[in-house]
Amino acid sequence: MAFARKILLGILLLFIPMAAQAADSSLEYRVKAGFLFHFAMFVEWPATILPPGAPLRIGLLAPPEVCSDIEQSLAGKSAAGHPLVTERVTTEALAKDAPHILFVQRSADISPSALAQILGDRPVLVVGETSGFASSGGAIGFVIRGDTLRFQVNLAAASHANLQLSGQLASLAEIVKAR
Amino acid sequence: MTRPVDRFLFRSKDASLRRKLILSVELNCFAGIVIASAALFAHQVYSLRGQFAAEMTALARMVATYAVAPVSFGDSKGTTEVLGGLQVRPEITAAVLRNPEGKALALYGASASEMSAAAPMEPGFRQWDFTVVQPLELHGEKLATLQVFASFRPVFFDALKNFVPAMALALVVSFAGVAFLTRISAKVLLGGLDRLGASVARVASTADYSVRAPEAGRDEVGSLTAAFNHMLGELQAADASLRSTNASLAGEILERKRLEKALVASSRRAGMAEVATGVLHNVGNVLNSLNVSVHLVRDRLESSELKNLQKAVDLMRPHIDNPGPFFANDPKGPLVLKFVAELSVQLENERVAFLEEVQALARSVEHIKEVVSTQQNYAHTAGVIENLDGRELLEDAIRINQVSLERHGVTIEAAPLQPLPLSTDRHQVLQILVNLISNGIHALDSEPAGHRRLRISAARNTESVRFDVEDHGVGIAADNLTRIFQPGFTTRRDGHGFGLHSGAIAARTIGGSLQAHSEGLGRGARFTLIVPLSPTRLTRNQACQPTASLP
Repeated sequence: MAFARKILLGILLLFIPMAAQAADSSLEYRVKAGFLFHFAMFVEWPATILPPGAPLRIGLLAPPEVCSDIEQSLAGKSAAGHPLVTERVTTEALAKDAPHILFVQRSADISPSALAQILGDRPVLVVGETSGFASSGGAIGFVIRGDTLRFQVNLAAASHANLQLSGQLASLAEIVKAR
Repeated sequence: MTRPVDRFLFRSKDASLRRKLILSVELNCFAGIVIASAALFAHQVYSLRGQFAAEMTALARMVATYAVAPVSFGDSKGTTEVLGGLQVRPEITAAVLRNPEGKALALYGASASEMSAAAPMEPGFRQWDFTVVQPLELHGEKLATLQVFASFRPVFFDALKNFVPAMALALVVSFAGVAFLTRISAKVLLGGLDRLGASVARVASTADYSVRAPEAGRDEVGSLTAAFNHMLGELQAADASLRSTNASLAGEILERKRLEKALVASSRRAGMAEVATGVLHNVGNVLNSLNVSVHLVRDRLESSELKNLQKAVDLMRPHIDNPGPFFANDPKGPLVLKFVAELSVQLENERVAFLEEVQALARSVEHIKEVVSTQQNYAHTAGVIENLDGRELLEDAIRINQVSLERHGVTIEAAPLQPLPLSTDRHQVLQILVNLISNGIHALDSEPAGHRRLRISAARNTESVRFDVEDHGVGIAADNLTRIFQPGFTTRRDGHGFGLHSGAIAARTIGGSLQAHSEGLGRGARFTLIVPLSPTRLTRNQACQPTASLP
C-alpha cells in the first residue's frame, strides 16, 4: 500500500506541466526516472537474462547530476519483484556488460544505431530522449506533446532485443517505425 | 357449485361431452402454453441477468486491465479514453475509477459530483441497477478500483419486446395446432362413444333389441360397448321370454275371468245356501220355543177345569125352568153355586195363563218373521235400532230355548239382573244369545243328568253391555279356538257350523264383538258378547267389566 502510494505520488509529480522543463532539470529527470520505473513494470525480459527476484539493472549513460537525480528517484524501489539497481555506464563498458535498461541522456554523443551495433541482440531496453530516438532505432524515446511527457515505442527494435512489451504500454505509446 | 368460469365455458351441464372435452383440453393446453411461456420468459430473464452480469463484469475487468497502464503512468487522458471503451454497451450508465483513497481518477457518463464517494461500492444487482467493482492491480499491487454502473432495464425490455411477439405467435400457432389435434383426438376417442350413443338412441326409439353397437376396441368405450351389447342380448332374451309369458298370461287372464265368473256364481249360490241355513237354524231355535208353548197350551187344555163346568151344568139342567126350589131345597144347590164360583176363579187363571202363552207364541212367530226378514237382507240392510233392555233380551233368549233346556235337563244359573238399557238391533242380539244358549245346552250333553248348569250373566258399563254364557261341558281345544267362528266348522255330530259364524258377523254388524274362551277340552267354555250402548259407542273387541255374575 505504501508502495502504491509512492507510485501515485510519483505519478502526480510526473504529470506536473512541463512548460518550464528546462528551468528545472532535476524535476525532469525525476519524472523520467518514474517512467523508467514503469517501463520496468510493463516490459518482460527473457527469464535467462532476468530470473525471478534478480536485480533489474538500469544503466545510465548521462552526466553525473542527471544520474544522481535518477538514482535518488529509484533508490530502494522494486519492479515486479526485481529490486532496481542503477549503474553509471560508459559506451566502452557496454560492449562487455549490458544492463537491462539503458537510459541515454541527450548529452551522450552516440546514435541509436551505433548503440545497436554495440549491444547486438542482447535484451537491453534502450531509452533515449533525443528527437527521433525511437525512429532511429532506439526502443523507447521520450517526446513532449504540449505540456505532457509522452513516449514513442519502436516495436521492431524491442523485438530485435528479445523484449516483450506489454500491450498496455504500447497502448499509451506512439508507435514508430525505424527510418 | 359450478364456478362462473365453468358456467361461461360450458354454459350448462347440457353441453355436449365433445364440446366439454375439447374446451377442457384446449383450455388446459392454453394454460400450459402460457405458463410454460411465462416460465421460459422468466428463465430467459434470469439467464439474461446472469449473462448481463457476466458481460458487465468481463467488460469491467477488461477495461480495468487496460486502465492499469494509463493509471500507472498517471495518464488521465489515456485513462479516460480507456473508460470510454465502456460505451460499447449502452446499458452502462456510468463508471468511475478511484484511487485507493477513494478519489475519482477518471469518470464515464457522469460528473464528479454525481459520482461522489457515496456511490455504492457493493457489487451486484439492486433492482434494475447492476454494479461491478473491479480492482486495478499491477504485479499484485492494487492501483485503483473501477466501478461500473449498468442498468438491466433496457435489456429486460428489449427481451420483452422480442419475446412478446414471439410468444404471441407461438401461442397462436400452438393453439391452432392444439385445436386441430384436439378435434382429431376427440373424433378418434369419442367415435366409439358416438356409435354407441347412436345405437342407444336407435334402441330407445325402436325398442329393437336386435340392434348391436359396432365393436370399439378394448378400451373403456370398448368395454362399455361390449357390456351394452351383452345387455342388449340379455334384454332381447328377456323380451322374448316376456312376450311368451305375456301371451300365456293373457290366456291365463281369460281363464281366470271365466273362473271368476263361475266363482261369483258359485259364491252367490253358496251365499244363498248360507242365508238359508241361517234362517233354518234360527227359525229352528224359535220353533222349539213355539213347540213348548203349543205343548203347554195343549196340556193345560187337557187338564182344564172347563169339563167340571159341564158337570155342574148337567146338575142344573133339570132345574132350568124352575131353579128356585133346587137352590132352596136341594142340598146340591148351594154346593153347585160354590163349585161354579170356585171354577170361575180357576178359569180366569187359565185364561190368563193361556193369554201369556199365546202372547209368547205371538212373539215367537214375530221373531220367526224377523229372522226371515233379517236373513233376507243379511248383507245389505241394517237392522232397526231400538231402545231396549238387555235383561229382557236375555230372558227372551232363555225362553226361546226353554223346551230345549228342559229336554236336556239343563238348569240356568243367573243372578237377578238390573235393567240394562241400550240401543241396538234387537233381533241380531237375540239371535246371538239364542245361539249361545243352544250351544251351551249341547255342550253339557257330556255331563251327567242333574249336573248340567248354564251360567248366564250380563253387565253394563259406560260404553257397552256384556253378555256371558258359560258352561262346564266339553270345552274347546286350543287349536279350535280360532276356527270356531269360521263358517262350516263344528264339533257336533248334528251341527252345521253356521251358528257361531253368523253370530260373529251379527256382533260385528251391530258394532260389537263375540269372543270365546276355554281352558281346553273337558274344561267348559265361556262366550262373551259385547254390545255397544249405541251403535257408535264401542268398537269391536273392546272389553267391559261385569256388574253382575253368577256365583
